Amino acid sequence: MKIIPWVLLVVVILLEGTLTTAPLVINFLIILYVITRRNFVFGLALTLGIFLDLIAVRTIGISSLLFLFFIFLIILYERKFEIQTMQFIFLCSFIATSIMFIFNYHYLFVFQAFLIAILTTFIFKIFHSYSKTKTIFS
Amino acid sequence: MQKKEKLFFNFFVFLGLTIIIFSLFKTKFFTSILSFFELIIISAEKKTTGVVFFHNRGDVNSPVEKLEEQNKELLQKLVKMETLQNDLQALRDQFQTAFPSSQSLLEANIVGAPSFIPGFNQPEVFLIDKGKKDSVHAGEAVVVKGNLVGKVIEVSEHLSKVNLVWNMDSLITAKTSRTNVLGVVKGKGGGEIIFDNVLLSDDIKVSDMVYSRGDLDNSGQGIPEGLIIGKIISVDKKPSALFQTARVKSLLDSQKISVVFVITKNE
Repeated sequence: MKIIPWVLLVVVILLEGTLTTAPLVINFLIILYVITRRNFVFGLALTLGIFLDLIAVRTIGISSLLFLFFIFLIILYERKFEIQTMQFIFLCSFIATSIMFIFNYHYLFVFQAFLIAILTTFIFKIFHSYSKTKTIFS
Repeated sequence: MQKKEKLFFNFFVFLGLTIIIFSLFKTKFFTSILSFFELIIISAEKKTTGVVFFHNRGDVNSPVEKLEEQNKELLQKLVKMETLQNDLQALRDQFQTAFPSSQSLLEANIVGAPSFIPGFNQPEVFLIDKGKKDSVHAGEAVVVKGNLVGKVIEVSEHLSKVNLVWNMDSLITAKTSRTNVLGVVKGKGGGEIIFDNVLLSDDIKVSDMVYSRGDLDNSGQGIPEGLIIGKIISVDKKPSALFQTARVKSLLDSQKISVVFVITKNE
């Protein structure tokens, strides 16, 4: 079962890199940080950002900066809010997705961001309920 | 509290690293590294699209299993042959077209066409497997059989990003075939194109063809005149408005294009 998040990560990178405009990687990183609250997420944000920029022909490092910025915001608010809740994940995902859409010059994004936020919340719910019983992110 | 401080420290370390990488990749030294990674990505993308059947080599003892195995192999060959035939047809179609001249065309394969839901939404950009190494520059037009596909907006060593005609950032000066009426073709996203800024006194009708007017810079780079953008499907003319607009339908099916041609500058 430990392999599932990493398989999902590869799928998410390939999808965002070539097939879909939906910012899936940032949502994956949000889920990963909220569940684990561990430092390796920063490294992952840096690496995945560079990899995505390479595939999508963007300025190298720009996605990494955005990913790190979002995770930093979650760290800032983790003492003020209960971050391991569906409401927080939904809001966080919606804002992050919207910003990523604007950053990638997609302007009709509200409905799409809403769909992605629902999907992220759903995936978070699955991983969160599973991580209560077993360690899957290790 | 200590954990939080550690997290902050790590964040700033990685932020610093990102800024260093961001600055370093702007220098020429790192373009070779970038080029190497891009080659790997392109080959992986090509292989991914090439795999149609997953071939399972198990024990083939019974005649039925042998026949099934042969059938699978034949199907695989058939798919390969059909792909080659399609590529050949695309090349023939393009090079039989008198305009643009074949000398200025560079064949490129589409390696990425991201859309929100692939197959359902129209892609807004294409990623092609030609870049700086193949003398592709930003601003150059991309065509298929004389139809304008889009414009190159970003170029890396081996890859280029093409903004499609219906992309919301796309803005091309155009004219109609019948009456030579001038206007601006604007992308509206989702495959929609608008022929805008047309004077109320000008005559445009449904079924009029819209061509590029030509937008070349001093070095001869840009969109040449006479590339087909699409066909007018409806006209919106209000007496109170300053301009009339028309909806244009591109003759291209973005889902079916696999090969495009970049009009490169003749050096």
